[in-house]
Amino acid sequence: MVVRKSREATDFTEFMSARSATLFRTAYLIVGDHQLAQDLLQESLIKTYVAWPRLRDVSSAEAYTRKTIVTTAISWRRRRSFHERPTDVLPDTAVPDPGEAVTTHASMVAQLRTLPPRQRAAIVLRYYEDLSEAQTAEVMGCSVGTVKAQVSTGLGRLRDRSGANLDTAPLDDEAVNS
Amino acid sequence: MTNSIRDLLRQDADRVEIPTVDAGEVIAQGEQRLHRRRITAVLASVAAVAVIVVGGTVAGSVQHQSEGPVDKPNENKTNQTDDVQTRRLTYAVGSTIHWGDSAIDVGQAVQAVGATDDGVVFVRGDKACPYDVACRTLWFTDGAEPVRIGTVAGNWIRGFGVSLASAGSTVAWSESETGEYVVYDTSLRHEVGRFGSDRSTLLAVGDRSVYWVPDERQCVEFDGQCMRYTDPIMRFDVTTGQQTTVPWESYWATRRSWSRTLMSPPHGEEISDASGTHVVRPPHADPSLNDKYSFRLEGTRLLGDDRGVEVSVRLAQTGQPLQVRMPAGYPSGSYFGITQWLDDNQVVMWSEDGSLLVCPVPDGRCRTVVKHGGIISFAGRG
Repeated sequence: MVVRKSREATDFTEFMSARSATLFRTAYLIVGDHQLAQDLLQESLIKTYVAWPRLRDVSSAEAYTRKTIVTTAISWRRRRSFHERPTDVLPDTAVPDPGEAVTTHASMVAQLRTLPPRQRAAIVLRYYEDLSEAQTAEVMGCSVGTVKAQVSTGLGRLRDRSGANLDTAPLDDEAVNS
Repeated sequence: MTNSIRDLLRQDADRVEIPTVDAGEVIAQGEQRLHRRRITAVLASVAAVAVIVVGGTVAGSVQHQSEGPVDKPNENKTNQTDDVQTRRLTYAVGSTIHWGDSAIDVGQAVQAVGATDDGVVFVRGDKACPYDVACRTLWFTDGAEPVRIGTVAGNWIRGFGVSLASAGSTVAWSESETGEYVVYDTSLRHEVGRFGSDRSTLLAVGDRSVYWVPDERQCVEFDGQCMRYTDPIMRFDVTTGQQTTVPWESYWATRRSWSRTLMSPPHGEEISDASGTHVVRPPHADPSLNDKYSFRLEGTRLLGDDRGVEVSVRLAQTGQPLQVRMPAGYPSGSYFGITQWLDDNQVVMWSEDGSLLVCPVPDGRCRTVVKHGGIISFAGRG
């Protein structure tokens, strides 16, 4: 087996050490499960390693890994829908009673986890990663219009289900893009 | 009370414990994939030469079917009423696989197990090593010494991604290094074909055919879900190894003709719940056809669960609603899921407490056959 030059491996290891925690947090917010997020990060880093020579700098590598996290998470969800569903462990996602309009942190986070993966990813990229709509569209591989629709629908659901007043002040896209 | 979605997300992210990622393991797996790609590239160049030599004969191997079900209705063994095979109840406890009356000790803890008509397919190993090849190796046994049949791309966390035909001998999975789908016949005890990439997705694994889509990203979405793939569907013939593009209508007709297929819900079906009446799937959605479903107990009714939405589930062949009844004692809100079909008239249900129940379909009363049965399927978390 031909192993990549040690310099590349060292650069990749440094990238991993520096950015893994941030990328893990993004993965966690998107899938809402600690072990699944760990698996998602591992898979995305492997794909980044394979693509490493094409990624010119650390910022490109981080953007590539983030994009891979999002597309892989959505892909896993799609694949699962056609396969067996039952698990030998209980699902982590608790679904609060929609009748109780209790606006707690925990209930809001739990509601976020019940959203379809693309809505969840769009909200995390916009409101956690502070990406613009155009940048979010690039990461998700869709149009700006689709991002707007996913965010709007997702936030609408969060409001409806939790009964919360959700402060969703939009980001200043111009400022982010500049 | 007003919450900032941005603050909520940041608080949640800051609270989570950051795991240590093993750089050596990531690099080792990346190198495996690169190695496999290099081999594939060499084989592809050799194959290209072969194509030039053979000329147009290869082009004829992919055909387009224009109308009607591709598979004869009795392709599925279960439709042969004079020879309906009953599968054995299959589950595992620790390192022991229970396959009907047989108890097979496979030496290590079983992570997932499923049955074909010929034996059991399983993954064994320590759950502490989800990424190690040893813990993603797929084995087959019919009671004799287990034989290795492949390595899967998934793991117990995300699901192993192994699909078994609900009748017959066909197993398909996504391979670790290449992302290709591998099709294996447990009656012949060998691989019968491979296709696709890590962008492909399986739609159905039947006894003699496998249906798949080359690029799962090409889909029309509604409410965050893929409602219809825009690419043509491919049919892999397990007997001949031939690939054929088929119209979606043909796939639906074929899939509905398989006796162990469930359907939910009809196009644009309306459901009502506490928050009002909703259209579950829009009119442009493809039919949802599967041999397994999850369910939630609502009072005494078992409601299908289609990605978090309550749906009615019917037998695709007859249109009869699935209305099996659970034994007393399960509280409302309990989750159940079909893990295998024993024959055309009986399914095995998994319950949250690890018990297994055999349920006559479409509307019989389930009976508990195993309490706290342990590992039973190839699914994962999430």
